[in-house]
Amino acid sequence: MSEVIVITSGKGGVGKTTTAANIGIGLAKLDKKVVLVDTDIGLRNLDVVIGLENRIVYNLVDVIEGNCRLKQALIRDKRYENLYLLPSAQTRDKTCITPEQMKKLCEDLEEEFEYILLDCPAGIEQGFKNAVAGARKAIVVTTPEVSAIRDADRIIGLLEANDLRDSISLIINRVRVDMVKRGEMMSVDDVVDILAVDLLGVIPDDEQVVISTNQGEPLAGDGSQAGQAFLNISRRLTGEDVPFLELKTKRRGLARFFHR
Amino acid sequence: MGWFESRKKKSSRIAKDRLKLLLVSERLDCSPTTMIMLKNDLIQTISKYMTVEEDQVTVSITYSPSVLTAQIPFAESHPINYS
Repeated sequence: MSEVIVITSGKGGVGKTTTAANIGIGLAKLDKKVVLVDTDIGLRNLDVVIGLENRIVYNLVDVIEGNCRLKQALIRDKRYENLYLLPSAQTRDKTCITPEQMKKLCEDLEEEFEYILLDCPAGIEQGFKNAVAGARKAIVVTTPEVSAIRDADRIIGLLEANDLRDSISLIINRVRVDMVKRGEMMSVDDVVDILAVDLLGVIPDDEQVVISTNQGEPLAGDGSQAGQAFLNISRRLTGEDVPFLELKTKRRGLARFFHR
Repeated sequence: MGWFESRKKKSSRIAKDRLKLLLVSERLDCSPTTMIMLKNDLIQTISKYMTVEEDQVTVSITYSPSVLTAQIPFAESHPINYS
């Protein structure tokens, strides 16, 4: 039984693509067969985040329009042999596919893969509707900011209307423990309290994320804090009970204290 | 004094309060203006029968489950004399 999970946020720039890439790599490291699907037609980005931009021949729209077979469009990651990418089309727009076609594509992918991760475009229009059509679970990514949380709330409402009510979980990205301690950033508890959905993971604000994106090598499972947090999310998705990184983030706060 | 007061309310608290108000009005499609009108109507209706402490009335909406809570203190007809 495979999992079809959409990664969405409403607001742009909160880290959907980075999250999708890292969860995908985390799952691949856990020996799961994973495909990352970039559903942002016209603005593809997942390919560069995982460093596969030079290997694209066919894309999602080619598959849907029947210009190629599904297997021809799938790019296998040479570093993690269980990980595949289905890139989006760059020269088309989101109106060229329908939710029904996406649903069919997800069904086809289910035959091959254990995890199908759909990277959703920002916004609540056609692109969002396409991305959620085939999904059975949703991960909402937000940051502890008023604008991102407001949009996350709106997205949660729309997901609930799409029959994903009991399968929504939350990732809070770019948490700065030092600011939370000073009372200048909403805490994880604040955000969970406001949005009232299950928490799947917390990603600390970590400069390693920028560095890894520069290099096109996602950091899930490396030594960094964010990398550890992403891998933990992947493990939770496989059903493992992994405690949240709270202690570690506290130590970071303490470490900062001692460094002064 | 003003300096102390502004220090007391941290920006995370402000953010949370703003969000709560905003999300309630967005989820229930009920704007802050509507809330004020509702509050005024409640005061008016109850004032027909009892004397209400108008400036101490609070009306709030919580969700999951969605509940409207109004706290409407009455003016004390016989204030206790402490002296």
